[in-house]
Amino acid sequence: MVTDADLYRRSSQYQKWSFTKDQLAELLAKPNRNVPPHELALTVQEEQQLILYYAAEQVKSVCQQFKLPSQVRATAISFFRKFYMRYSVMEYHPKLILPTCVFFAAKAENAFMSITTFCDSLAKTEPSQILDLEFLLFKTLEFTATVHNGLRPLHGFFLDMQTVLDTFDRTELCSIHDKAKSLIVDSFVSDVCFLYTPTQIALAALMEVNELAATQYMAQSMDGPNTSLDRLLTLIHGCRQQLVVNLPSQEEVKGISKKLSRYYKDTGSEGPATKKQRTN
Amino acid sequence: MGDADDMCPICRSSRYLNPDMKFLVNPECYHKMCESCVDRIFSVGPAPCPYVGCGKTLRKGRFKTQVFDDLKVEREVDVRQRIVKIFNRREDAFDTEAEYNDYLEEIEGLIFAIAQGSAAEREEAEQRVSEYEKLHKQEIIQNALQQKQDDVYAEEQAASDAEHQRRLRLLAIELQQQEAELAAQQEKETIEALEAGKTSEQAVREARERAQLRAEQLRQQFELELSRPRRAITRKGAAAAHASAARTPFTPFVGDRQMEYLFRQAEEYLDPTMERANEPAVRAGGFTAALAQQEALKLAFMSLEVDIQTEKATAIAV
Repeated sequence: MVTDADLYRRSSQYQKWSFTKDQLAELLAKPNRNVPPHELALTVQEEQQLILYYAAEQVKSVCQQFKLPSQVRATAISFFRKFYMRYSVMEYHPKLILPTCVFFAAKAENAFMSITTFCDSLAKTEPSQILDLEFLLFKTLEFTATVHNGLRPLHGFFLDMQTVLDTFDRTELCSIHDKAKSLIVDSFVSDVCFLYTPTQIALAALMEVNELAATQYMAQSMDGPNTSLDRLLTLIHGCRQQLVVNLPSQEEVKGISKKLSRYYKDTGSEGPATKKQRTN
Repeated sequence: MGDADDMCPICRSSRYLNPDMKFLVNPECYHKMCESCVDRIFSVGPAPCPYVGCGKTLRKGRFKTQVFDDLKVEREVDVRQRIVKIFNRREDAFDTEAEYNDYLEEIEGLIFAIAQGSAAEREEAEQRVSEYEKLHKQEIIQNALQQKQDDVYAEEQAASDAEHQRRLRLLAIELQQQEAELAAQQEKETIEALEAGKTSEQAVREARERAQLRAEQLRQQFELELSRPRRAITRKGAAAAHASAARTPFTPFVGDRQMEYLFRQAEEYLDPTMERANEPAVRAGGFTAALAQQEALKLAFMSLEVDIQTEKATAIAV
């Protein structure tokens, strides 16, 4: 029998973009090693801080500017992080990759807008810059544009909790749902998207918001002959610990950004957009 | 249509003078002329075609109205009709499909040679046809007979299907009416029973039971009619089975999907995202809240069991 879990295992998200913690750490560190040594070169930690900041704050502000739904935000962040698993910020500057990711994610999530509308509203972006990078981005993503996030599963759990948990009244469940939703939206930048499945992320968020309700719900609906509640609980616990991300402070980011622009000036590369595409 | 199309090239009379004018052609040479010319020239007996330089002998009986504007097409259709009547072997007379296809190809080749080929090709093809006709005279007649029988049989089949459908419809209407009558009668019986002095609960129960029994009988009758086998196609049974297998829609994993879920979908939820689900514009496309909710529930439980950390650790490193 082909179960739904098997179907998930056939998804590109599982096959290409799900990793163990060690694999993920290796992937994040690798692009940095490909850059030739330089006195102003960024360390892996600095790179990650910068990527995190761009993924969290910049994507958010661009998405808010165009009133894009959180689905697009999740996908854009995912694209952005996946891109920097293959390339270093010292090869392609995030300030150009980021709008490309948002523009492409809007297309992937059926919230299309024309490139001119998009660029007119963003300072210092030319349509040609974004369109030139778009294919590189898609290639780097290995042509996988579908990103499953925790929001749909959360909606499902919200519905199912109404039938399973009769001790909680519905308005309370609504508030739990809303808090969990904002938690999931904030966790789009975290590593859990690559380490755990959307279902587990949704449950971890519920756990974080109201541990009592979530545990009770899981005990009542997921304890069966074919499922092991204990195993699930340890899984969710592991996910929950990495759910909330500490974003770098403004000062830190400023320092790293300055260092990066000095690096670009010093190495004489004229800008990320004119750089030749690496073939691999 | 230009003037040339509306004027008979033989007698020069035009449609303007004679609105009922009809043009006829003869498959011998396909030269067009009006009906009155045909009557005038060919009533006496066979005569040469009046077109200058044609000279073919034509008979009145073979003149016909032109169906296609393009004479090439008209000609090919005529040739095809003639050839197919002679080369009429049926598919089941061949051992393999490939052989049948070869046969069909041969027919097409002949038709093409006669309709569009050069004079020599045409001559050769005609000769082959007449040879074949001589050799297979008996077979040709038999095949034609069998084809006719099959056509009649198919017609009967269609008629009997339609009749069955009609009977079912009538029965359904009757069933509906009788159910309505039963409901009325049940009410009447209840009142009568009450008058006879039974307690109300008892009376109502008895009447209801009687009504249910009768409704059940009716329904059984209907279902019997529904399941009555129609005249099955026996001779073409194998072919029909083959065709129906080809028509079965594609199902992913041959339908071998998960049937049991950890959740049970309720009829209604408090769901702020579905506020617009009842608007006609949304419903028109076939959207229902229940479907979307089922999808969300399935997605919720979809990847529950998938433990990336252990599964990917044993897999080949990326």
